[in-house]
Amino acid sequence: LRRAIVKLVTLGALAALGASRPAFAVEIPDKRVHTVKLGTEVVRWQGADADRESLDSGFVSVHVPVGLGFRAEAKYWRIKDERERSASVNVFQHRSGILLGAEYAYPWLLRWTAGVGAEAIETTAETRLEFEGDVSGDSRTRRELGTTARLGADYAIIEHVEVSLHFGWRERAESEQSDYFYGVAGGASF
Amino acid sequence: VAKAAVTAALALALCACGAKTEKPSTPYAARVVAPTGDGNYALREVAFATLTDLDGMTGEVASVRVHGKLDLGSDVDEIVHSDDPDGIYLDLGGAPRLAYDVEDGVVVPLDYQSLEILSLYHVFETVYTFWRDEGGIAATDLGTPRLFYDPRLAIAGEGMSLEIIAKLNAAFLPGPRDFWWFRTSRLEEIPLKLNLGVVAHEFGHLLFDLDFAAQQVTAYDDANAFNTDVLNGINEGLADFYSFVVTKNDDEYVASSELLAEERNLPVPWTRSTLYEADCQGSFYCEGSILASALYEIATQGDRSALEVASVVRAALPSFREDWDGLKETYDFGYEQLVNRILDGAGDDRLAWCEIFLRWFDTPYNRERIRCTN
Repeated sequence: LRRAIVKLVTLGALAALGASRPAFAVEIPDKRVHTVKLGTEVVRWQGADADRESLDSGFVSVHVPVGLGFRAEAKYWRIKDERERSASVNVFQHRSGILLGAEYAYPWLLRWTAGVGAEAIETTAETRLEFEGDVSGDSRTRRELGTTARLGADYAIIEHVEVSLHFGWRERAESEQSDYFYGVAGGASF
Repeated sequence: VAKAAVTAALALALCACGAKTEKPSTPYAARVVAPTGDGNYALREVAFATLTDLDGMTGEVASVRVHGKLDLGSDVDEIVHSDDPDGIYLDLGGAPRLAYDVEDGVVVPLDYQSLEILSLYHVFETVYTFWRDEGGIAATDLGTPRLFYDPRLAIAGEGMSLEIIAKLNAAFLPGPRDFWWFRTSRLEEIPLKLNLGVVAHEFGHLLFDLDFAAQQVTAYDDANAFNTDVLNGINEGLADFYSFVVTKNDDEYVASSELLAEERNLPVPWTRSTLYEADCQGSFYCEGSILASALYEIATQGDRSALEVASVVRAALPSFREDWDGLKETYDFGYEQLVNRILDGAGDDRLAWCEIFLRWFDTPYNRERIRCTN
């Protein structure tokens, strides 16, 4: 921990002095870079109750520079909630989405990012009642549009290999529900 | 390509602001897990007669709150006695945000919480309207209780904070007159909070609070551990009997848990004289089940309906309260006081009811104290 603190202090000092290259890392690629990332997110929805949280999620995203510090983003994500809540009554939920958006990147020690986008979202809810040997239920699919906003930071471990952290929120328009998410990703830049 | 992507994103964002789910209107109908009679449950469409605001989950008979947090570090007893019984909550929570679709005007829940909350409201409404409409209890007496869904228990102090998520239980809290429906456990078949018998049992505590305590928390003030156990057992036994009155089914609990049903289905396989050899771990519940079993037998073997028997029991409770107030400091208090008060209201059935009570309360001590004649 002490070593980490020393590094952070050094980093802060270097930043204050206007240093462009952190002492402990490969140089952060600039904002004109293309990236492909794979990651996972924790998504909490509808009031952020712990019982409304995905435990199994993943995404793949692509960023392409478009100029003026902006990068276009395309992302496919999906979450799965198949926790068994009771022995007889359950609702399993799958949700996936495609995002198209834009991200502003600002390299300063790390590459800080702020993104917005619009999404097409599909939710499938499978309700099951297994009682006294009888199984009944139904499955419903809802397709809707949404908007999302996100803040994050990218860090290059070695050349062309980055890790990133991010958090954000999503508004699903038709169902008037909110999602909050945070995640980690790893990817390649070129 | 990049410019096209950004343009497409902006267009999609603009479109996203437009579409909304079809809004259902009152009276609401929803597809929920609901009892179908004889202890069966099914996914079916039900109508809500009393729900006035779906998104806020408030209605004429109850409101549902999520994220409530009870302060276990506080002196619960002291607070429920105070002018502000809500002081026991660190967080009163808020209205649930249901996820649902609307299909031909019917609300279809899209996640587990939404399914449980809508199903709970339906079952609660069933029990409430039973006592209001068939039991003749004024809505002003029943009030509009808050149903705390998945409440958390917390202890917060200097330098520490502990949060407990309780499962496998439900409770009625005198004072604020709230119901707590704890998180569903995977051990539950039909979740306890959706079980008509369990909800009717908890509602039975509200009736006891109304009839015995006249909604005064001081009524429960205990005198000694023995009398407290007797009063708790009577409260539980009556709640089980009231549950039967609503469900008309003697094994409704089994839909949720066989273990629960083994000790609570009516009638129980023990009497007062065999209580201590009985395979029952529920302390005062086990003795309360003897009272419930006696009332069950009266309601199923006599000419009067279960609801009529319940009316006699309810009418006996104010005078039983006088017995409690007079005897709670002594060791002369017991189930016999309530039995005698019930028999006082039994009219021509007194002797027949008394014989049944004596079969259940069958110790020499019981026989000496139960009065079969005026």
